[in-house]
Amino acid sequence: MDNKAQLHTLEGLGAAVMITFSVLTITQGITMMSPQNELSITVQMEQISQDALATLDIAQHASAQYNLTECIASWDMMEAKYPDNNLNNLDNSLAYLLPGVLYNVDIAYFKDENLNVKKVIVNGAPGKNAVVARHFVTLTNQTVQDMGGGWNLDDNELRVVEVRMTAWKV
Amino acid sequence: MIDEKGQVAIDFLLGISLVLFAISFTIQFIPGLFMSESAGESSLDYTAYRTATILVEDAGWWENNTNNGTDWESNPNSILRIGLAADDDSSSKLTNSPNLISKDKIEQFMLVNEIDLVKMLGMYKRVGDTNFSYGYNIYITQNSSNLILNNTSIARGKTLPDNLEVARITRVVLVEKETIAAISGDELTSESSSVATISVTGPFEENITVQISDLNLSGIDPALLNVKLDGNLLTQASDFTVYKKDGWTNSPLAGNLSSGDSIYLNFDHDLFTASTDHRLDLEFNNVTFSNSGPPFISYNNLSKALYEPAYLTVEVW
Repeated sequence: MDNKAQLHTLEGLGAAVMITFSVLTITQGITMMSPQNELSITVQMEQISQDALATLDIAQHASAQYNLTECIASWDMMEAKYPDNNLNNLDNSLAYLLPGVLYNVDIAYFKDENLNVKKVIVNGAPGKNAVVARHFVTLTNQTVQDMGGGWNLDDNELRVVEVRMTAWKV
Repeated sequence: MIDEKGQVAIDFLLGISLVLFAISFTIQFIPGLFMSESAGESSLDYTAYRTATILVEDAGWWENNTNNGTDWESNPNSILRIGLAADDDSSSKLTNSPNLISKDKIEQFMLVNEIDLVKMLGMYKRVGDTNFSYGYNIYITQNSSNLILNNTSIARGKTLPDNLEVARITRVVLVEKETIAAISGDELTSESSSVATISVTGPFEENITVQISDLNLSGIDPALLNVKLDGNLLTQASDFTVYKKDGWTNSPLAGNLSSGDSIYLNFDHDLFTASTDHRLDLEFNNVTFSNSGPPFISYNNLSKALYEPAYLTVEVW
């Protein structure tokens, strides 16, 4: 019996080493996406999208030519159709703050007791990891007139508009 | 026939068990062998997120026996909390301007000692009775390079490790850098026709900007002809730049002015020497000023913070 047995032992060890190494190579070679990891990427995306809207909203004229309220005030009431965007000043400002990020912007407002949701910037269909950031702006007729927009407000009318940005990375 | 007896050869059984034993031994014996780079400590993510949020959205707080406020940068010995957000009312704990970053606070932030900073921003983990500090990097970038304020590069921390997991979060902020005075055409003072004069008192740490809007244009080809400081002609590009705003970017002013334009003149801070009143003359073509001087409108009375977009990044490991 002793004359033959040793080979199986060595084979077993050899196979174990090979399997261990192949599994190791695979796990080291690919980036594993754990749920936490995916969450932190989403959080970063959400945060930076909200920041972009917030900074654009509080920007003074010396920082940005038009702030968020003025960009929205300049809207001509026409919906955007891909690939043409309808609010170029907003598009340029967001593109500057969010390099490497694609986004669609909708605006939502109440008029005559109806909720209107209109597309103003369309950059394509959102990816599956897209996030939404919202920011409210208040329009007055003065701002609309200054920006040449088509909102048609009365002088004593205030219009609250929700800016919804859907952002995703390619 | 061999099939008529037991199906499993004892040698084969032995081999298989050896393989299984060896694999499980390897996995057990080397901890972290199959933990991939990204699946590690998730508490790092929270720390990075929390630190960035505190810095960007909180104005900080200081307190001693008698007083308190958010202007911790002026009271570096009694800091309770560090936050960089600008605040116009230092007595209330909240700020109305998250994402606006104050220059004074950044400069003081660079001076806070390491132990206090780690403690106040909570960048440590408590194990038993001992605090283990996380490695960290906090920096502000503008146009892909580090922000420089008062000749200091705004970055704190250590070199990134090669083989550790790093949690990183980036915030978009508006950072106070230079100063600006916004002057409308009606307010500009003038001694001779088509020349607007502004009085400026030095010194300045950073460049200064004059924003001029609503000019009263008259005749054809209204334009900015030249700029003089105390009677000496200034050179464009080296002493000052003139631009208009196009979104977030500055586009050079080319050719004539058109109505509704706001123009910006950015002057080198070295032109203005300490505690001296300087006279800045802007000579225009076909622009009228209704407000005569002296006294001339003062830059220093009107100047306020100029905020520029930047990215604040916190890395923790």
